[in-house]
Amino acid sequence: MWSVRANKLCAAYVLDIFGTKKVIHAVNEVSLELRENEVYGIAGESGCGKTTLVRLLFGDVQPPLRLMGGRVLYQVDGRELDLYSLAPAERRDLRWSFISYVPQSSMSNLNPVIKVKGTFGDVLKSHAPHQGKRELLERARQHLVELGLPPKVLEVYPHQLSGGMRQRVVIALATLLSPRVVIADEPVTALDVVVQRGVLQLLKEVQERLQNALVIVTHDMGVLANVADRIGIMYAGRIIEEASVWTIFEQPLHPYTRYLINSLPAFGDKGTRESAPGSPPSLVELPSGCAFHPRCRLARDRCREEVPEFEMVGDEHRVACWLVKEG
Amino acid sequence: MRDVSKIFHMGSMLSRIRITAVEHVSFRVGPGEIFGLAGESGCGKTTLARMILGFEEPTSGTIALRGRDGQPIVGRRAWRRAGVQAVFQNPFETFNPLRQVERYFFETVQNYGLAGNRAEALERIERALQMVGLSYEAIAGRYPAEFSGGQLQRASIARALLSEPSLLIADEPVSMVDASIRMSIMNLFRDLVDRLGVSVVYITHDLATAYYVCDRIAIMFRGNIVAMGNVDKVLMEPKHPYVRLLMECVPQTDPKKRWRAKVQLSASETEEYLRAGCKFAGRCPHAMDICKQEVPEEIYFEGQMAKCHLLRVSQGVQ
Repeated sequence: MWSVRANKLCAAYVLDIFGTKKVIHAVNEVSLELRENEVYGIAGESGCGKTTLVRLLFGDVQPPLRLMGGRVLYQVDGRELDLYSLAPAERRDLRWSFISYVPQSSMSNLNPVIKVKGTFGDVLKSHAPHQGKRELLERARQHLVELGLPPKVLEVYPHQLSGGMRQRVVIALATLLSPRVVIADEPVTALDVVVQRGVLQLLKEVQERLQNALVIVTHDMGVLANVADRIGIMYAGRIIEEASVWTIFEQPLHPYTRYLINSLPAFGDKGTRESAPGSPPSLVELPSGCAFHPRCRLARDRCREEVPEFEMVGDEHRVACWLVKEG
Repeated sequence: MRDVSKIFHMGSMLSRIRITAVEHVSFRVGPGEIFGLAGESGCGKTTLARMILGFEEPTSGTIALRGRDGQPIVGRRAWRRAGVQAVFQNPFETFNPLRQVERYFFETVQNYGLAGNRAEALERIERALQMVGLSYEAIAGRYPAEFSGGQLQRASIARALLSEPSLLIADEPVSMVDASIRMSIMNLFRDLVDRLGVSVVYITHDLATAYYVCDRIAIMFRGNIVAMGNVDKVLMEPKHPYVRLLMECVPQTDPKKRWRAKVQLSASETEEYLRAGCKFAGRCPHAMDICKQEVPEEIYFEGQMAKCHLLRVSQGVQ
């Protein structure tokens, strides 16, 4: 069963610099589906629009970001809701309880001047206004214990916690109200490998307990290989390939995905790895046709002219590439 | 083979709160070698790099450096010119966004007196840029924001090569570069070593790229080198329990090799720094009484060294 569905989602940052309008096409016609009980990984390089995409899914659209088209549907207790036709108050009610978002560098997202318990209290109070303070605190404490974190973290200020602990506290906060969808944006970037593994372990445990959808946005394919069930590869604002983790790593079809997978260093193999020629395009001036064609060695005329459709090519495997379609 | 070698010998560096950031570390980097320095954040690898660069004085111990011609380098100026140059993590922070990139090149040439006139300077700059696959034309008049991360990192490497140093210190040079062009920068380091005979100290927390590019590697933990040697030996046949833990935690890019067991996280960095004996004892699954009291000695295996009491016991050495 699906929880969130995006349909031909388009969004852009519209900037006005000294009278010159600049439009950054960060997300272009993205369609995807998040399902119950799965880990969905979104992979891509910096500046490919992955953070913008998850902000759209979460409903956080603020200028200069503008929704240019498409819809986001939530399935809440069997009802279908169109996110962007909801009233702001309704949207706010869904946050934390239906969908929660762990932003990038969430280390700095805890309020530095209040104790951790204050932040937990704020979240709980907004969704359970009738409960007393002590009850709320007890609920927060219980939740931390369930996640295997020391409840004493409630009594300290964020700066007293280490980076890894802060990240785990933010994850605890995001899962406090048992949301059906949790979006974690670069949850382990800037953490050490051992801590990184601990944080991913926690995310996965919570997901297994809640049987909900977990979205992990990252540029690290190694992280996704370890935790994701399905992966969407983003390039220049589009998802260009989507498949199960096995298919992505073993039978990638899009030339970009192939470069990405083949350039990963592996232990026990010192053979030379080639990376894709050129560099990622600017989202202000996207290349015509397939955005990858200037870097693609196999590009044909059609690739330069027409944007390839994102089509199903196999079991749960979608690719946007003319080469794959035309054989 | 020319006998170019660099010997670093450093002792404890005591800061005000007496945290020994780097403790009795010795290693040598041979000519034309890529030496990896890996460890978690706060393990002292950047402090070590800063001491090699001459930004920081070691509290005790000595660092010696030899030029490409094999002669020892003496004096601060020569140290930075013919000795060692740095390539930093984020190229967009290396360069001032309001200055044209080429100005850094001319400035470097001028500061070290590398050329007599503009034509000579240009020639030298062109040569350095050619080495990294750029040209003067490609950078002339451009500001950092007009470059892609990969190009700018190449420019940063070219600038470091201007003074023909015998050693490059690369502090996480690819962690800010787009994944699809990361390997081309790693390949560039390999290529420079082959062509120029320059040595590279590659500082990273990413063991996978370290494995790819390094000849030898040292693993640091809380200011100590706990294992060192041939990269194949150290990483593929890890002896030290900490290295084994690290290797298990690196996310392998293969869904077949997913993690199974659980991992225990450290309580606090400071506590580990202040620990007597082996700093890893608090987290080590095999910790013994002796580990908490005595600093382990170096134990040598074929192609690698590790500092661990456990290994001494298992070897039966007294």
